[in-house]
Amino acid sequence: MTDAGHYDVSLVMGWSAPGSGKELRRNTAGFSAIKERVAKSNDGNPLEINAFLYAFLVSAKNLDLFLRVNSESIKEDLKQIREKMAALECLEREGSNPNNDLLLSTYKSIRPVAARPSARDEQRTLAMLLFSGPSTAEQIKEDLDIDKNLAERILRALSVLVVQTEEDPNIFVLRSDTNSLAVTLYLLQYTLGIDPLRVLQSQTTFSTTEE
Amino acid sequence: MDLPDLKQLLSLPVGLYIGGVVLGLVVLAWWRSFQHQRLLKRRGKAGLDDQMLVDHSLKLETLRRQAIVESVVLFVAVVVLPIGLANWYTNEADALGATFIALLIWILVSATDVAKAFLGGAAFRVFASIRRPFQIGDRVTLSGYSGKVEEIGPFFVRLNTLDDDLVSIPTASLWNTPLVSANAGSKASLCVMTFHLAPFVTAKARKAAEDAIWSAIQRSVYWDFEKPMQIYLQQNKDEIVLTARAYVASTYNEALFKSDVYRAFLDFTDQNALPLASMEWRRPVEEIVAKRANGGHSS
Repeated sequence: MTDAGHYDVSLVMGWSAPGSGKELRRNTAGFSAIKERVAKSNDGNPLEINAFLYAFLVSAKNLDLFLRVNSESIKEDLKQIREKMAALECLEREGSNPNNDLLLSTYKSIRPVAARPSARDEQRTLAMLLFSGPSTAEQIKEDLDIDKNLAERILRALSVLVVQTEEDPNIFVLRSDTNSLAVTLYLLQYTLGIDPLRVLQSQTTFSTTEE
Repeated sequence: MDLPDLKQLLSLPVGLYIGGVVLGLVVLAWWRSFQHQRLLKRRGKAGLDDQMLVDHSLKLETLRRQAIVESVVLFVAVVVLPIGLANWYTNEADALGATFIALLIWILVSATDVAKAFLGGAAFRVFASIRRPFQIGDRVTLSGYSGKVEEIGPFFVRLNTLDDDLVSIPTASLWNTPLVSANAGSKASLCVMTFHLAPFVTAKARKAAEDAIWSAIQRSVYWDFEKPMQIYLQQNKDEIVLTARAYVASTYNEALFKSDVYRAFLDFTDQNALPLASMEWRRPVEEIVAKRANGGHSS
């Protein structure tokens, strides 16, 4: 804690440990649990918070009111993700090659699975993993109010973007490389209309101005 | 008018005018078709199907450009070309002939219902592309029909309703009707949801209900967390109404968003035995008391 009422946090693209953000899951209604966790973890080193979880919490719970955010480490990633999303947009609008084979193959693999109008649960699962972090099929089932078998099937179908953690194969997490995140965010922007990158970019600009 | 006079009117400037207009329209149609085919080919090469996954505001840019090009062509054909030709040819008879033929075509075309509908519709398209009262992809209510705008054509505006019906509304008629757009070009739109509690719920239960609604909205993946949300309360004679105002990130998911929130709220009321407003509360108090005294059986 640096001064009264403010805690230092560092934004990162990945998830530090499986299940580490359990009390920060999107389905938590309470504000105090989040505040408690941030305060408890602030023992000199800034707490690392996933950037997309932070984007959600900033908007939903005004988390930025008591946090001093360091977003230096994700600035370059955010820029790359935005550029890759722009390349995907050009691919869709004009059929132009994004000049990134991995990005193209990831997008072409997941597009038939998650972009269909009927792929509602697949899109919701991606959104839930993006904001809530590592999740078990049971948690996805509870969050989305769907059948557990269906949750497992969906997680397997999304394997291009979702992987099982090494620590526990029952826990699934979104890949956090810029190609996968660009594809995930592009699909979510188109299908669900959500754009956490906009929140993050406004936040990182703000923190730079403050400095 | 004698036949020789008419022949005299069909002079070079008139021929140039008609030829220019027809050529312009043909070139425009060919160019649009060429661009479309080229795009399909390029997307096919990239391994993409016909469904274009771009934000609808990006699609609108293309349509806006098309509408502007069409309005320019119309303006050139009706105003610039006749005046230009009339000035170019100093021969008074030729100039008069060109203007006369242009006006004759204009009046003949305008006199028919089809032409009227076309011209009214084309003018509305130009108006819509500039002032944007609503756009392709918007959720609108026009002439009593609500749905998503699929197309703004010169003859019809096509709406896709929630029941998946395709409604065609004459474009020209939209000059005389209120235009209601839920999202006005934005992807997000406001949802207003009401929750009806029994009039005698305790303050604690009411607070719990409010918290449950906050939570239900925030849990839904369709919620636009960038925009503010509000919940306010209203005391009516027979019920307490909680009204939530929150934005859905994509207006097309409004029904799903509301469904998420209502389902979560009903689950909460069920688990916590929170009484909802019911027709029963509208009955005289004495009758309810008597029913309760009777162990739930009406006397």
